[in-house]
Amino acid sequence: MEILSGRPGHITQQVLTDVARYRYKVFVETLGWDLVTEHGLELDQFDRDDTLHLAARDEAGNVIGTARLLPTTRPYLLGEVFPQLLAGEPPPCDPRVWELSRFAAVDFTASQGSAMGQFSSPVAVALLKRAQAIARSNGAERIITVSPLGVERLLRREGFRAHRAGPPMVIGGHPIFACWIDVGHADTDLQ
Amino acid sequence: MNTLLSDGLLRLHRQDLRKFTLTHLVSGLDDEVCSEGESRCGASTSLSGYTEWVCPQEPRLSLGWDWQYETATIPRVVRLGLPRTNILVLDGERDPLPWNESLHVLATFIDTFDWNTPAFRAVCQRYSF
Repeated sequence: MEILSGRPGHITQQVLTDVARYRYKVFVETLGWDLVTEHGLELDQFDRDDTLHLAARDEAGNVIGTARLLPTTRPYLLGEVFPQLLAGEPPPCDPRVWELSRFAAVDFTASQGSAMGQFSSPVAVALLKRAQAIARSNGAERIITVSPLGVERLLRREGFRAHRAGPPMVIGGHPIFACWIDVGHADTDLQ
Repeated sequence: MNTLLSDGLLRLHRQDLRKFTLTHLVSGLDDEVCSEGESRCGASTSLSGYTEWVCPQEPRLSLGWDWQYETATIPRVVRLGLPRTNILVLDGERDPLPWNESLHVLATFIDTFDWNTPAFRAVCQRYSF
């Protein structure tokens, strides 16, 4: 497995297209999220020139995991679309806080998979640790994310330090919540 | 930047917990994960899930935890493990408890009120057909 990361221009257009296609399969086809899509690709207004993309690929080059990082000093998903998840607190706007979104690690080439597999695989753990490291190297002290409720128990099971930023809400039939995740330390990246 | 970065946690004294009334938000069942051997016809099955409770007024406290339906003696729903929350419990004057210790205090608080009945009733309604 390899994890590619970077902004558009740093990683190829083909990889970005593969990521958008993978996101469509995970978030639209598998999880049933009501997202605006086109030609089987899932892209939104937060996929910009300054967006940091992560793509995990298997040996054959298939995308098996994705994530994206956005600074909270510019428009981001939680602040623009789900501010109500912060229970009245203003969305963070701080160079020390980065948002993690479109996180998934479903291996569609594996013999078995489920929505819960979104976060249960070694790929997911590696992807999140890489996202922590990239966020940290960009000045982040904390990550904030909008996630399905089940992710919180999985974060705990995998040993990540995280806590909710407010009560969960059922939106579009899905319980979701805002979650703070520590960026960890450099010495944990190799574990 | 010298300002303290907020961690988003609500800090509450241990003795203040009981001043707030939590209301049920949502409960659900776990997707059953079992091995091939356990999935045969007639095998016993376990029922477990999650439940979420909130304080409808300020401060917007949030507590969620896992539960299991036990049938060994008297059928009952019991809490499993530590809660998930946005609360950090303070002890003494203003000293925050270590995170895990705070979760244990909250777990003890959870066990003081009847969440079991509304949570299980909500699950039965949600999954009935």
